[in-house]
Amino acid sequence: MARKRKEEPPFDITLPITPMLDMSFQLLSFFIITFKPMPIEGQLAINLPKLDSTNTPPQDQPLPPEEKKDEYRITVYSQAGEVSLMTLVGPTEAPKNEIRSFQQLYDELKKITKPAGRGADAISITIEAAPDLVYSRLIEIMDLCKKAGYESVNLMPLGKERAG
Amino acid sequence: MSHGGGSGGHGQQSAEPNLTPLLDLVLQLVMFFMLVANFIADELSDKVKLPAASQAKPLTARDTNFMYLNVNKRGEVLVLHKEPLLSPEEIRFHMVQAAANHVLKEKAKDEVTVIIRADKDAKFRDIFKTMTAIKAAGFKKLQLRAEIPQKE
Repeated sequence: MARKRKEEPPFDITLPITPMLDMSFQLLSFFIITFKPMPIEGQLAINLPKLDSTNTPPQDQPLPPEEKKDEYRITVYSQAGEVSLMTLVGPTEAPKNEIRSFQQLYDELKKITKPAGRGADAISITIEAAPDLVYSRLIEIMDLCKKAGYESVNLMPLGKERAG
Repeated sequence: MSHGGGSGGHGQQSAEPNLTPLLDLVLQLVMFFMLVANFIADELSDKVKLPAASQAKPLTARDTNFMYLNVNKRGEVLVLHKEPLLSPEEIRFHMVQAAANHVLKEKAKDEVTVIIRADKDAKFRDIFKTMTAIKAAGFKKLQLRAEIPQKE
């Protein structure tokens, strides 16, 4: 004989949210305090270096005259990783005076005569730097080239460092 | 106007704020900070202090295919979960493998831009060695990364 079970009153199950919220706030404050926003980064485009002659593939067709670029060469000598001396040489010009500051280099770059009918796009700059030059100085020089309006920049190691 | 229990009378009124949405929000914020922290650790090594360049251009939405290569001040190429790469051959081999594993497969070497993140105190010889190895691996596009100084 079935007995009628006495109905129990419904009861609320309440999860204690407050301790969980406390813990979440602690985690949140930990992440906020330890969060170090990354500085804004950007890129400087650069042409890839030429490989050694042993690895170089056969030369392609020569460029048409309108695509040829006047090549200017900045030679950077270093002493203890810092820039000691720079020179700027054009495609036809004789070596110019010694350049001893970045401002002077920038002024010289701005003075470059652009080919008739073509702008700074018709000029390529090759930076020939001493192997022990600190990278930040090299970037400063590249930055000056871009600031002066020259987008085509190549890098080359300096064959033989000047003594002293 | 009566509030609460519905039983009327002079029973105590309960005023418990609903904490659940607040908890949801806080947990979402926690998740955001955890994820952001992981992304930074993955590709952009904080061991590398970048030089500053005012003319550096940040990546745009169109720049989707790129690959990072971190170079520390000793000239070693840092690779996640691996020993640092030293010789040009090691770097070239790593780049060839990276191209093979890339989603673009054969096109990777033509389409992917390699971004070198080198320490500001690294020597030019080490950067040039890395650049030559990237070229030898067959990649066509290269960029050097720098910090954009904040304008005051």
